[in-house]
Amino acid sequence: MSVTRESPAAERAMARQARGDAMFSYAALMPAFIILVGFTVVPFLLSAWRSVQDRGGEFSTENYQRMLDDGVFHQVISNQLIYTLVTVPVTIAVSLGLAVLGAKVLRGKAIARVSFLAPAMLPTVAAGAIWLYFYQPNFGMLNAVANALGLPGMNWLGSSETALSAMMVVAVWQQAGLFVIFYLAALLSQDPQLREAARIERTRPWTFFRRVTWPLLMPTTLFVGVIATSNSFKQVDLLFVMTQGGPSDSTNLMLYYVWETAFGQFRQEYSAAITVLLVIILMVIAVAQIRLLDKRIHYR
Amino acid sequence: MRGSMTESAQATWGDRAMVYLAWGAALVWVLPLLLVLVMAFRESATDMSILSGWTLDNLTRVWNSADFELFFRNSFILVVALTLTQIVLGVLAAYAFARFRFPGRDVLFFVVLAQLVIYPEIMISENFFMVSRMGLDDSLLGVGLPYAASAFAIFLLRQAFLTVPKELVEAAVMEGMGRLRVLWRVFLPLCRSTVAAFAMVSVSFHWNNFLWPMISTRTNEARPVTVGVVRFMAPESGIDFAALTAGTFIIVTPLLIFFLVMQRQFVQSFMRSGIK
Repeated sequence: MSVTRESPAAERAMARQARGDAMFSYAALMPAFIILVGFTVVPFLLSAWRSVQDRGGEFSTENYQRMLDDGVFHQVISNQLIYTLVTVPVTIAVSLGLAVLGAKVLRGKAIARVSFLAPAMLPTVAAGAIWLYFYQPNFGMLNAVANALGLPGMNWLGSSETALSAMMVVAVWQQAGLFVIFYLAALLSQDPQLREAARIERTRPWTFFRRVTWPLLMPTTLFVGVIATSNSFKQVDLLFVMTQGGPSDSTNLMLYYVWETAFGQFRQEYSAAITVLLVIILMVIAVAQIRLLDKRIHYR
Repeated sequence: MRGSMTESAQATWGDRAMVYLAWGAALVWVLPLLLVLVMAFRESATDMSILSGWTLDNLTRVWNSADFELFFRNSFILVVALTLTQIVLGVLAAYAFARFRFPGRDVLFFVVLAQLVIYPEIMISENFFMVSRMGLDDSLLGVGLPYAASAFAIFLLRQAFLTVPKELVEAAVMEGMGRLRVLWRVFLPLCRSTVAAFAMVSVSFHWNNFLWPMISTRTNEARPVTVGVVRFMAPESGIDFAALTAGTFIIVTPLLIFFLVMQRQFVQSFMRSGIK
């Protein structure tokens, strides 16, 4: 019996099989990759090329030097950092909290879930419009409540101290709903025996959450973190509707500034340089997160 | 006996408190939306009486002041076409990644992973120039093409395909099924809920997409609803709140209805698809 050694014919057949698999794979990947490469990789290379040219098309590093002196750009970077570092953890905490609460609802659970999810189903421009309405200083809902409580009203979006925070509230409100569903899915697929064991052992709910639930939810948390982070860097819709980056650039974020420099001020080369920086930042975050995912999930 | 009774009573007490909290939070989440939908039918934002002051004027005024039928048609075509192509291209690519070994697989998959965070709209200028060079600016094809494939779809479907038992695949191969037939008969039926979950994410993403459609269109011909309606939301000359609420109503209602109808399906697909 030739179990250990394949006959030459069998080896040839296997090689043919492997070649066929590879050819099939390339053919199956081709359409998706034409689009993915054509509209992200190629334009990135073109941006990089454009960013090292001056207006006359000569090689120049002036676009990168300009970043160092551009006060608005510094403001944008600082806004973006605040926006990302606040909205990502807060979104994770809020959506996890809502999911833990939502998992307890048995009667009318569909209504509760729809309520959480509804804002996530809205176009961001519509979410922005809704809150524009609430933040409105004269008859907006928020100031009406503040007045009723005897507090002074605020021009929430018109003041550079509150505008960015006001916008972050909307962002969290809007995107949490989808993540609630992710967390709910993970929570409800948790082995009920774990909870039963904890009940018999009289483990405190908080201890149970920290020691059992939270580690089990880690893959979901990382996934939510990746999506929320990349959402934070591509946030422009809220700016278009609510603030146009103002007042005095206090809510201006990176992608909006890319748009502003390219399509508002027609400084394509400078805009390309900012795009390159934005992509580099995103790549660093992506690699860090993929490493983490690899470690924690073992998704093969 | 008594001990266990009080213990379970305590547990239900805590649970009940959490249920109340959950409903409170649900109300906070949905209330802003409901209020705006109600305000779309109000004559004045400050008039709080329930019996009077209802009107359809806001809605008819906004509806008649722009070509919303065209916007809705464009959105509908974009959503259906993009969801379909993203699923088809995503299924094919995910299948190759999940089932076969081939040279360069890991590098190619890394490209996909990187694109989970780098979307076409980040390269707005170059994509705008590219679509213009192809002569597709201000057309539905130009609005849709950059989104015809989705790294997110490939990633999710690959994860789902990896859970398909090897024995099933081997059995299918023994029966003489070709590669595409195995995909169609074994992989897809087992991963239906992932496809459904992705389809719903895709529908809401494309219905709501704004920046790229705004940049790549100059006339109403290819504009989706988000772009068509936004001038009622952020006009240059002050904000008209009656128009704003009516515009929100117009843009939100179709997707909300779709979602309410599909809600059960949606949540269950997510539960089953193992996006976790």
